[in-house]
Amino acid sequence: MIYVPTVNDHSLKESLTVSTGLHFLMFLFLYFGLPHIIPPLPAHHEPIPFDIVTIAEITNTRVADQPEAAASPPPPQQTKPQAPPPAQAKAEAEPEALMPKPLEKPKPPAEKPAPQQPDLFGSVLKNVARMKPVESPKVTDADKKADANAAASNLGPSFSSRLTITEEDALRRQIEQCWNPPVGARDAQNLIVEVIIDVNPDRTVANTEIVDKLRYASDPFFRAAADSAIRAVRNPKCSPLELAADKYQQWKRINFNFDPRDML
Amino acid sequence: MRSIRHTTFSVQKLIAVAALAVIMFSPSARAEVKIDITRGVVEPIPIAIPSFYGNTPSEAKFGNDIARVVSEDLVRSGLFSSVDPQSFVQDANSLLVQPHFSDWRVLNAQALVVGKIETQAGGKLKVEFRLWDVFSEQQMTGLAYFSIPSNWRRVAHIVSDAIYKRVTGEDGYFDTRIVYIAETGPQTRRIKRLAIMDQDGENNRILSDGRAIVLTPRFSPAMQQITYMAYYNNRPRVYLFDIDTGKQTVLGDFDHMTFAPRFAPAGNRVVFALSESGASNIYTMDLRTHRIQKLTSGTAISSAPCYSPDGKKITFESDRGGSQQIYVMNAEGGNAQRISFGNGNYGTPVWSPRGDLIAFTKMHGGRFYIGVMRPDGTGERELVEAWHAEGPTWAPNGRVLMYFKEAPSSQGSRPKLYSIDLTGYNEREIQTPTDASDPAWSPLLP
Repeated sequence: MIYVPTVNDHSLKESLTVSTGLHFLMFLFLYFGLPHIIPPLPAHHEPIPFDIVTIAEITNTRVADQPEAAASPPPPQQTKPQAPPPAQAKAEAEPEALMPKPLEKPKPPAEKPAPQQPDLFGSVLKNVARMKPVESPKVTDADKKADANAAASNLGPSFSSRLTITEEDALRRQIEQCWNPPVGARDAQNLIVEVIIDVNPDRTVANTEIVDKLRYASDPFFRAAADSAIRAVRNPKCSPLELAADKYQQWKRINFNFDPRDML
Repeated sequence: MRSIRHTTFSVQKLIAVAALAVIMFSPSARAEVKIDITRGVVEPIPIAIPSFYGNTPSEAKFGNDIARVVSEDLVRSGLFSSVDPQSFVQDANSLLVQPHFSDWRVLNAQALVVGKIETQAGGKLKVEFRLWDVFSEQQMTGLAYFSIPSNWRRVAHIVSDAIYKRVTGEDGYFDTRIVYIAETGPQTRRIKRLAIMDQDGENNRILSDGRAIVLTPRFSPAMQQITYMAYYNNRPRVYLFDIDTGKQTVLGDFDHMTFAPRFAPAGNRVVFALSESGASNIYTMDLRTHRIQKLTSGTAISSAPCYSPDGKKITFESDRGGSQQIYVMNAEGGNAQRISFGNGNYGTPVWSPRGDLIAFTKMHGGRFYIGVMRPDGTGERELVEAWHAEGPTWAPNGRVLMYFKEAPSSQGSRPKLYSIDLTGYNEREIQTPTDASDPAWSPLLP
């Protein structure tokens, strides 16, 4: 006689299904919910052990990134990648009907090109009443030397698996020279652009990616700001990037946050 | 049975814990190195604009002229610099096939405009262009326009606007016009006539005959009309003027002097000041029903009213507090709040078309300033300081201001028009055939 475990088997299957379902739900919760509950670990908060070895004489130390700015989870619903602009959108315009007839023959004055002002566009909004000198991010010789030191000191094998603050500073200073931020735009303080770049082993930029693609597609001000960020990392003046050759694994993917707050 | 069940659960638990561990401890898929860039170098974007390609000599001439006007527009904005055409390597024809971006990168061009002119059946011109990002080798925009050949200058301004908008995110302001007061004659018998021109100073023409002095012209948002104050028969009153027909009508029939008119954003009413027994108050008049509404009262001198772009507020100047200052009140009157608190007197407030700022004239220590502040009075910045500067007017995108300015001169008053970027840089004189004052910027042409 063969024992047929009908009832028990059924309940086993059922509980298995329930259990699997519950675990799946828990998995979903952990995957999507956890990053919101537990703030992600800041990207780099323990520079001290390594800096003693590689820090240069001159550096721009700064406050650590705020945790919430460090890494927000990627939006679960990724938008479609931006479609390439149509080769040619045809805008039919027949403006001639709208032009009033000139009463007099126009006398074009000899257009003399306005002299270029030496201070044409400084770093910040101008106020003639209180002209306060604002430090412009000029690279001094000392800075350059520091950059060179930073690069040189990292040619050999390094202790660190991360970029040092000095190395990050060198890269930051380099990109600052190539970024032309839209300071006159409306609400320029809100035009913060996150760009992820993939870097080739020869330190040239392989790929650029705007993180907030939805806003790029819908907000022309953001799109202009994002384009200025892309131009900064793509600028031949800033190529190749100032990065230590032996740390490719660390810098093959870099996350830039372009924020004009110090310019406004 | 129990043992099987137990085992199954353990395996599941194990998988869950493993999955959790993977999620929690795996290196993030995102970039590890994170760098904040909070400063940059604000400088004009180098843009290369070769002559638009034309197959015939006449098309090539249009192509040349349009590229030149586009280049002049963009450079005048201060946000672009022109890459010297002498240095161009690639010719207009091969550009149409495919730009050699490396050639343009060598010239330090960040943007490249490639255009083409074609004559259509019927004699119309087809003007098409593409804007390329030289670094990323991507097309940023591409458009085509059709127009009669005599309109080529306007087409060039429209192309400039499209490029400006794509690169800055803001609407352009090149396809616009300026009305202003053309001043001629000796200081004792100054002739002040209404004049209009393109924003770059081209197509200048005089609209009034000069028998009466005309002051403070303002564009209607609907474009066909200008309002201003004029002294006909020695009676200073507010008039409306139709640009297309040249017809002039007086606004309302008041016994007293009316002045400082300005259209509401919808173009359906005019707000102005009316002077009566030493006091001056603000009124509006509906242009359709001619109904008049008094918005302020009292014995103070209140003047220079200007609506906010949403039509809900009015800013104006008043000496109700003892000195001339700027106030903001509701569009129906009431709830007036003083917003200017700096040293000196403030006047001629003008609300930015984008709503974020109010431009003003300030007088302090014998000097004049053109400045901007937020509508709540914060963030005051002076952009221009001069012996005499007055009458700011906004470009329709709220990015550029125009005003008139003069230096002390042995020949008396010689005002000229100037524009300046909102950042306080790139001040430029607008070339006019005569002395010029009181500019008013039109909206974008329809």
